[in-house]
Amino acid sequence: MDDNVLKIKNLKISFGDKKNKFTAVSDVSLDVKKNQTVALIGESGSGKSISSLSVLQLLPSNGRIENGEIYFKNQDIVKLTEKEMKKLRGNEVSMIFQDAIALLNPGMKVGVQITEGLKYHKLMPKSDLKSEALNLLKNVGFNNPAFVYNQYPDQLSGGMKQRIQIAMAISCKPQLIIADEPTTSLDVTIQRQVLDLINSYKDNHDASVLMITHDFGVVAEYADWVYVMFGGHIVESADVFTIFKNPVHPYTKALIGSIPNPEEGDKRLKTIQDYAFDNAGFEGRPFAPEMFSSESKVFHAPSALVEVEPDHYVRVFTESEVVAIG
Amino acid sequence: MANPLLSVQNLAKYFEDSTGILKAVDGVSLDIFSGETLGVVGESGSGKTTLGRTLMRLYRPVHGNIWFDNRDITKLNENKLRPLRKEIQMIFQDPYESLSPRLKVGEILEEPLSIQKIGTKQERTEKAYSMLEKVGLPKTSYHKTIHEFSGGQRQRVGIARALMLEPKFIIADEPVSALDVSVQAQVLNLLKDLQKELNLTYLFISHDLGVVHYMSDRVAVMYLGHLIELAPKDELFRNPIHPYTKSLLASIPVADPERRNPFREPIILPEKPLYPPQLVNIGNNHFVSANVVNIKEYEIENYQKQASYNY
Amino acid sequence: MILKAFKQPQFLIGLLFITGLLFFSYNWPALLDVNKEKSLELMPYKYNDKGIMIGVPPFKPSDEPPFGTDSTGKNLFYQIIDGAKYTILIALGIAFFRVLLSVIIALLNPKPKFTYLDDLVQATLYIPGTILAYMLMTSLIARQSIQPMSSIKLIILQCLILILIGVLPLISTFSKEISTLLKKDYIVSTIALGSKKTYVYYKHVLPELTTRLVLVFAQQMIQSLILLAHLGVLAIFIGGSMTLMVGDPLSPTPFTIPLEGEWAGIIGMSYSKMRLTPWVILYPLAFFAVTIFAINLMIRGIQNSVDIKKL
Repeated sequence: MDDNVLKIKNLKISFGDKKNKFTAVSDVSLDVKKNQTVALIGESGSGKSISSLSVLQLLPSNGRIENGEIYFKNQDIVKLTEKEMKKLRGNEVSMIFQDAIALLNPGMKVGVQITEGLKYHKLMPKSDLKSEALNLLKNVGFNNPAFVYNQYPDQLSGGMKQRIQIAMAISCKPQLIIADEPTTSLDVTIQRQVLDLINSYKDNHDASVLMITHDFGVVAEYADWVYVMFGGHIVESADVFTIFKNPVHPYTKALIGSIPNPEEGDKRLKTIQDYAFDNAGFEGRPFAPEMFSSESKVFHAPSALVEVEPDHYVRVFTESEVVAIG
Repeated sequence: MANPLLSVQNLAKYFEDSTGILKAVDGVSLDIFSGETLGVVGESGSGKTTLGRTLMRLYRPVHGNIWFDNRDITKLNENKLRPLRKEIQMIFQDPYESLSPRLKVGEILEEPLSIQKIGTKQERTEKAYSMLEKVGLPKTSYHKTIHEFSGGQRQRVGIARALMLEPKFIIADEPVSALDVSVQAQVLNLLKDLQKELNLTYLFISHDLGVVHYMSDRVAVMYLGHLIELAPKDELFRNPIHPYTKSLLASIPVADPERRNPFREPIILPEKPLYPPQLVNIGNNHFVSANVVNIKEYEIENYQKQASYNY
Repeated sequence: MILKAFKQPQFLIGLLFITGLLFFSYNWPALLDVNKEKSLELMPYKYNDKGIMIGVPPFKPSDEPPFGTDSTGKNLFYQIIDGAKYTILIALGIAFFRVLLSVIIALLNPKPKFTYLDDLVQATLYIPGTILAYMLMTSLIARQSIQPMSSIKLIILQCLILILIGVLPLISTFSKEISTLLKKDYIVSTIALGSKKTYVYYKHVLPELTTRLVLVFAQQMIQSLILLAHLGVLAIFIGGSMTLMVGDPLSPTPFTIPLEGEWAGIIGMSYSKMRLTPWVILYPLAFFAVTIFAINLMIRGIQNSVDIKKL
C-alpha cells in the first residue's frame, strides 16, 4: 500500500448482546500518514474514543468490531491474536490517555515504571534501564530527572503525571502515538507544554500521531488532517486549513463558530441553530443540521460521504428528507 | 464611576487541615460595578472558586471586608444574611451535581421562593413557568425530573433557579466547562441575553480565557490565591504585564491554523510570593500586582499606587 | 424508595415472616386454643391414667412434641413463640434508638473526620461488644440484687446499655456521610438561597439518607439479636432472672430462670445443661438464625430495589 501508517476501513463497532445491540461507531474510515498529526474531533458520545481504542483492541469487554479492517503498516491487526497484539502495544503503537492516574502504579517509582516497556519489548539489560529512564525524563522536560526518578505517582502533579505517561509512551520509540484527550483535565499552560512534547517527538522521530480531542483550538494548533465525528459517523474530513477556511457541514461550522475568539470582539457566538437554514445540503441531498446537536438523539438514516472538493469529504443523507428523532 | 455594587478589600480565606494551612485566597481587593461582568480567570488551585464562594458568604473570610450595596456583609450571621441571599445568586459548574436528583424541575424552581417565603403557591408556579420560558425550556419540563434532561438543558434549569429570586448579582462558577462545545455557545449566549434583559451583574469564573473574554467587560487574573492582574478585557489581552498573564495568553490555542506560531513566548510559572504584593495602577484602569522589584522587571514606567488597594 | 422495596419478593418474604411471627406471638393462646398459664406451667410432672408419676421434665421433643420441654418442664414451643415478641421488639427497639440517637448527634455536629472519636471507635471495635455489655450488665444486676428496682426500670437500664454500646461507630459513619452530602453542590446552592439548616436537613439530607438509614437499621437489628444471643449464653437476661431451687428436695440445686421469656433467656437458662438437653439450646438458636435470615432477605430486597432505580 502507500505511506499510511494506520489505515482504518469501514469500521463498525457495536456493544451489547444480540437482544440489546447498540452500534457505537459505523462506517468509519481514516488514514494516518507518516509524520502526520491526525485529529479525530467530536463531542461526548460521538464514538471518537471507541474508534481509537479499537486500534489497539482495547475495547470494553462487551464491545466488538463487527466489520472493517484496521491496517497498521499494511498488516491487518483486527486478525492478530492477543499475543501478537501485546508485541505491538506500547512498542510500535502506544497510547496516551486522559487520565494518567489510572495508568500509573501508585506503589512503584515512576522512574522504574517508564522503562517497563523497554524491559519487555526491547529486552534492554537492567544496567541500561536507569540511564535510559533518566534520559527519557529529561526529554519530557524534567529539569531534575534523578529526583523525579525516585518519586511515586502520588507525589506528582497532574501535569507531571501526564508527562510521565508520555515518557512511558515514547520509551520504545513507537511509530504511532494515539493520544485520547491527552490534555482535557489539565490547565492551559500545562496543556501547551504537553502538546508541544508530543509534537516534538513526532517531528524528531518521524512518527505519527492520532489525536482524539473535542477542542478545535488544539486541532488548529497541532493537526495536519482533521476528521469530525458525530453520532458514530465521520461527518467531515479534510486537511486542517480547508476545514477552517471552508467548513461545509453545518455541524463543523457550528463547532468552529462556537469557539469564542478574543480577536473577533463581542460577535455573538454561533450555534447549530444558526446554521440550520443557511446551508441545508449538497447537490439536493440534505445535511439535516437540526439533528446535529449533542442534545439530540443519534441519527440512523442512510448517509454517505461525498467529495465536495478534492480531498474534502462531507457526509450527506442519501434520502431527500430526513426527520430528526430527538 | 458610580459606587461599586460589590467591593472587596484585602479578602483572605484559609483552609486548615492536619497538613497545615492552605491560603486559598489571600489579599484580594476588587470592585464590581452594577451591570458589568467581571471575569475571573485562573487555573486549578488559583482560588477562583473559593473567591466566588467567599463573596457569597458561603465561607467566612479570615480577614478582609466585603461590601454589597454599600453594606458591610463580612461578619453578618446566617439570619441577617437571609434577606441578602435574594440579591446574590450562584450558577454552578456541574449541572449534574448542583440540582437535586429527587425533585421535579417545578419543585427545584419553586424552592428558592418557598425558602424566602415569597408569594403564594400559585404565584410561585406561574413564576416557574415564565422562568422556564425565559431560559428556553418547554413548559412540559415543569413535571420532569432532572435526569430526563441533557447537560445543556440541566444548566438552563440551574440558571432559571438562580434567577427565580430576581437577584442583582450572579456568581457563575465555570458554568459551561462541563458542557459540550456546541452546547456551551448556547448557554453563553443565553447568559448574555439574560444580562441585558434583567440588568444583571456577573462575576464570571472560568479557566477558559476565550470564554472569559467573550463574557466579560473586565478580567481579573488569579494565580495561587492572589489577584495578579485586573484590567478591561481588551487592555489585558493587548498589553499583559505580569509574566504569568503573558504565559496564560500565550498558551491559549488559536483556532486558526494559518496563524500557528512556533516561536511563542515561553511559559513562566512564577513562585508564589509569601505575601501578596500590592496592586499598582498603570493607567487605563489596568492594575498589576507588583512590588518595587517587579515594577522594574516589568518595565512599568508610569504607575500610581492605588491607595485603596493597599493594606 | 421503600415502596419500591415491596415489589421485591425477598423483602416481602422477610417482612411476612417477621410480622407473622410477631402476630402469632401475641395471639398464640387464642389461635392454638390453649391456656397460656397452663401451657407455660412450671414442673408439670407426667402422670399416667392411674395417677402414677411416669416422668419428670425435661422431656424430649419426641415425648412432648413438637420441641420438648426444658429442665423446668416449660413447653419449649410455646415458650419460643411467646418469647418471639420480646426478642424481636427488644432488638427492634435497640436498633431504632441506636440509629435515631446517632443520626441526631451526627446532624447536630456533622464532621468529615473525628480525630479522637475515630481512634476511640477503632479501639472499641476490637473489644467484643458482648464482653462490654456483659461487664456493664453484671454490675447492673449486682446492684439490683442489693437495691432491688422495678423490672421496668431494670429493662430500660439494660436496653440503654445495649443501645449505647453500638452508638459510637454509627455516629462516626453518619457524621461523615452527612458532611459529604452537605458539600454537594445542590445542597450548597440551597444554603446559598438562604434556607435554614433545619430545612436543608429535612428536605435534602434526610431523604437522601433514607435508604441508608433503613439498611443500617436492619443491620443493627441483626447485631442486637446476635448480642442478645451471646448475652443469653453468659446468663444475662433482659428483665432479670429469679433463682429457683429444683431437684432433690433434700439438696436442691439453684436454677436461674429468666422473668421474661425471650429467646436468649431460654438459651442461657439451659446452657449449663447443654449435654443433657441439647434441644433446648438448638431450637431457640434456630429461631435466631431464621429471624436473622429473614432480616437479611429484607436487606437484600431493599438493596435490589435501589439498584434497579440506578439502572
